[in-house]
Amino acid sequence: MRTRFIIFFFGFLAFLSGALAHPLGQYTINHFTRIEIESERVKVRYVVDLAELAAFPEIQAADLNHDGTLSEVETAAYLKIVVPQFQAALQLTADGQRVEWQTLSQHLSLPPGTANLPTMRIECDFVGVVSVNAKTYFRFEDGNHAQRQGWREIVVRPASGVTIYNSTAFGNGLTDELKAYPEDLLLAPLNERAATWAATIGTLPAEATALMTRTGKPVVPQRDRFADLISAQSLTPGFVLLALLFAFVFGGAHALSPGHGKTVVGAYLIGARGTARHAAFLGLTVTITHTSSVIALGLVTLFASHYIVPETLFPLLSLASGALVVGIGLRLFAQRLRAALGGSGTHHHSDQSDHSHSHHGHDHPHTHLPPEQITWRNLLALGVSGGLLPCPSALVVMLSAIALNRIAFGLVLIVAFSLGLASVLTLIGLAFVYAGRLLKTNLQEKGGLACVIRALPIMSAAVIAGLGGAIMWQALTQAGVNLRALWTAPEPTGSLSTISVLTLGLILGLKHAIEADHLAAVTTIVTERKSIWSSSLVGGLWGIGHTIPIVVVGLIVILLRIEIKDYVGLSLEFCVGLMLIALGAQALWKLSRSRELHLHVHKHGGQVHAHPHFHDEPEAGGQSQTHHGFKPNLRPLLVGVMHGLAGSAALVPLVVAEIRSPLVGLFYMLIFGLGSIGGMMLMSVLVGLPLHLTASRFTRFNVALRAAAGVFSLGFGLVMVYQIGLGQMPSP
Amino acid sequence: MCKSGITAILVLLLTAAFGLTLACDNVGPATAAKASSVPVVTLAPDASEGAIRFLEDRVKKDPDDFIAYNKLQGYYLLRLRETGNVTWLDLATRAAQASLKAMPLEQNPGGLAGLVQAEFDAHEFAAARDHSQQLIQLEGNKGYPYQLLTDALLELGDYDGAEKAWRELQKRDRNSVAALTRQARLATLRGQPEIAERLYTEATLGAAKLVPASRETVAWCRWQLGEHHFNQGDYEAAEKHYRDALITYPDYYRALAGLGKTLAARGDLAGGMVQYERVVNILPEPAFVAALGDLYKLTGREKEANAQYAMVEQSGKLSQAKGNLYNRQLALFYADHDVKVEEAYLLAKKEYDARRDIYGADALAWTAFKANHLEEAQTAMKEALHLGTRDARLWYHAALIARATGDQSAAVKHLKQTLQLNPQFDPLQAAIARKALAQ
Repeated sequence: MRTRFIIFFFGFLAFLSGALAHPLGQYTINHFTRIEIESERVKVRYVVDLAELAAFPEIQAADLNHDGTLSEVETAAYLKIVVPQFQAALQLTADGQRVEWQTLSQHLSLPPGTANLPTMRIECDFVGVVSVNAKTYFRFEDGNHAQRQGWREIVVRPASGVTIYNSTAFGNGLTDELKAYPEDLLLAPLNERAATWAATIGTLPAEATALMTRTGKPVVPQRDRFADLISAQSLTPGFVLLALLFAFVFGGAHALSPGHGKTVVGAYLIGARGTARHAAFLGLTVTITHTSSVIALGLVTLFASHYIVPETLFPLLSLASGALVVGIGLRLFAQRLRAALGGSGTHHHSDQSDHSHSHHGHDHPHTHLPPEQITWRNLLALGVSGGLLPCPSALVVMLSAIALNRIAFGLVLIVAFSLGLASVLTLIGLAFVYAGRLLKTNLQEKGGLACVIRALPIMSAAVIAGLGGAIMWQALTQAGVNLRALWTAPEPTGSLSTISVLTLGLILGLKHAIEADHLAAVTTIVTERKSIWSSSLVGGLWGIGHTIPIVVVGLIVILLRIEIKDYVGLSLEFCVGLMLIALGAQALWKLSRSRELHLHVHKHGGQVHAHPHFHDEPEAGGQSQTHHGFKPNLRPLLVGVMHGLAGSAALVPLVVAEIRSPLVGLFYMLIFGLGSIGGMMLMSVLVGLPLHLTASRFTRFNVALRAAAGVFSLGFGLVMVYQIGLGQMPSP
Repeated sequence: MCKSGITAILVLLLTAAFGLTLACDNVGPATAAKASSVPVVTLAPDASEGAIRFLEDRVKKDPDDFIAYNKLQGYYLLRLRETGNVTWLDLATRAAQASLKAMPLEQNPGGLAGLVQAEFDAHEFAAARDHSQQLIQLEGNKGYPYQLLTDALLELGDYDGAEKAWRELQKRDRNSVAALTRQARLATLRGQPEIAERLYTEATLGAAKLVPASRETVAWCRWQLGEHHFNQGDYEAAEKHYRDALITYPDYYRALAGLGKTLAARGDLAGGMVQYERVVNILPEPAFVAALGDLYKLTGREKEANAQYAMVEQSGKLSQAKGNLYNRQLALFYADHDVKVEEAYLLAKKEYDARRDIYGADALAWTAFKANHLEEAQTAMKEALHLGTRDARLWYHAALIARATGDQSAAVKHLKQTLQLNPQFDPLQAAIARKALAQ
């Protein structure tokens, strides 16, 4: 028996000594930890890589329904068990104080190993609150799988403004987070289980040993000179002045780094023929937004980091900024395209859109050009989008200022920085403005290039939307959403096949369109139209508006895994009720004042002025609307958006629960939207048909119909508001 | 560094190697120490990580430093023995190859010895045999080339050749730990447990006195004593040796498994499970995993038992996917649990074609029996017993094969032998043996 045992053991060796595909035996569990020290927080990247035979029992344990694969639910349940265990064994102390971990992200994958047997890879990001002062000692120990053989790697890194010294750990890794083990090198598996180091704000103390790389070179921290300003030894008035100047310059330089929508600004102004005043306003908006954003995020970091992790806000802010830009771009695109296509006719202002008269000062012909579309609202949105995302080093300054008790100094530095940022953006905007003017003048002088001039604003609007999309994409990627992965083959979705799910989506979408509250709203608008084409367009626009929030909210929910609370949905339904009341009231109001030319007094840019104004009722050319280009009216779109928002609260969780693949979910929502567009177009035509037929002959009948639509909408809205407001609204 | 220095280091490292013994020769040490008289030894860890890193750094800077490669290889092999993790075997093989590349084997017997050792651990026994014979040409006056040859021949089943090689080793390194352990191994194979026990005891004492002493060597010898006593059915002594080995080398996986096996044999299934759970957590080697599964099964924890068995099969899948020839463990696991018996038979047959040791013959006999190839089972069983080895499991296999072929008297004889020698040789199979005898 004893000898048999020996041979058994040898048998085991032979077992594994064949190809050695996994560089570390198939039983190993390998660990990678990267610790990044910031002034107020510690971030940890923790990766556990289980080789084939170590992964096997884990996969078995996680595979609750024993179907041989890990569904998202099973993965989440498994991570819910193991990640807290990992955290418990990752002991980091700062000056003897144990750091508590919060999970930023966690991800599990099963990369195929030898003979296509799965290995397991768990990647986590944790964050903990610390306060690095003049000298903070850290000690870290990874006690996970302590007895298991495997590669153990620890990396320590300083964030900007922080210096790490006297470290037993190195500043760089060897394996690219356990993705590539060195195979050509004769190197026993790293066995780094613990590390100690010290950290300070500012520069390396005297007689301290700098953090080293594995090749024995000191880790040169990416110097953040702006962040260094705050931690200067003494603050003389001269230094403060100089520092402000530097901050301004750094802000300007920062504006030149990627992001911040410089091109967007340029593209907007060039298309809209802005003026210096616009550019200045833009700069001011950027400055204010950026400063407040830095302060807000800094405060969140300081006081709410137990509840909200600023990390998760970054991509969200970025996403919001991108969405803002996309919104501006699409809106401009639609406006300019419409204007360009129907530009030669009479143009009249709708009471819903702001307009500027900045072209009055110029003598160039503008009859064939679109009306000016620079609006203060657009400018504001653009400025906000440019300043919304705080510069990380500004955030470091803010936090360091608080740590060093130099809050006032920190604030002025940030304002100076933001001013620098805004100035450069504004300058770029101005450059675009003048370059654009020059270009146009030249082109016009040469003549014959009218189409280019006409196309330019439209193209610039498209560019804006595209750039906004790029910003959103980047934000999602940053948030850890693998957009490319969405395009890989979707998983089969439970009992329903993908095709049947999508078909179901189309039918439900059609049906959804003819729900009472939708019809009530759309009817009020449709009854104002006389042509079938225009009616169906109202329906189509509503459908598009309705689809957009569903898809957007759906994507956010699917990708960021946010839960929608019940009261949010109810609140939105409540808003829909209010909207119905408003629409009904408006319809009735309009009816009472129809066919009147009236003076419309309004105000913008501080000037009050009045001009004669037609509401859309009396058409300039009677029935010429169809070949005149559709009157710009975004009302149906906005109403659709409102409905979509309210509907998404109910629909999206269903989609997420029923459909496993994000891609199929997205398609489902798109097809659902398509169904609702088609359904509503149909309904609009049906509603519009009698109006169309009777308009010229039976005015009374027409008026009665419109009145009925208005009353219906008003009444329905009141009922909704009453019900939700009094009955179902739970306290948030 | 002078050549004798290198050799001295090598010999030290090699003596600590897996023991496979030569013997039959009764020229043993005069002092017959009793097991209980072997003191418990505590030693510091052998290869410090610092030493390994230093040497790695050394060869990185000077890729021609074959002495550093050879030393490094010795450390890697030590780690392999300590942990059972094949990462170290891969490193050791590469270090040996690098050494021989830097300095041809004619001038580099240390590198060649390292290569033999790596080949042996990688189960390339024929290559290990050929290279150790080449090493004898270079270093014929030293003992260690014969030690390596002995080990290779034992695994290949050439017992007479192994004994001849061992005599050469004994001539050169009389009663060294290496010579004693090989002698003990041969005594065990030839059915002389009393001699083996004395030799292992001597070896354990000798290992503790080596300068510098290696805790892995001491623990290994101690573990061998534990195995010996377990096989003789003396579970109390076995437990003591395993526990002593664990004092010398805490969490030594072989001793943990041995302790688990012994506790289970003494009826403490829960205690056995605790030990096996520990060892599987350190090194989930199929033999340990299967044993843990058996204990779960005995205590009615079917679900956990099946999870362990699935793990063993997964290991087998991986091994087969890589085209490994030696799947003896998996074959026996299948046969013991009556699953995939035909596959088990083919695995054992393939291995026996390449390597004809008695335990290979036993695996073939047992799997052939389960797969209903009775004639082949009979022939192979005869081969497995031909050395007269006193091993309960061999007899148990022989008994069931004899019964299947209608030889009731031989079956009863072997069953009685089995249960008399080692009544709890296996948690599941021992019960079957008792049932068979009762019929």
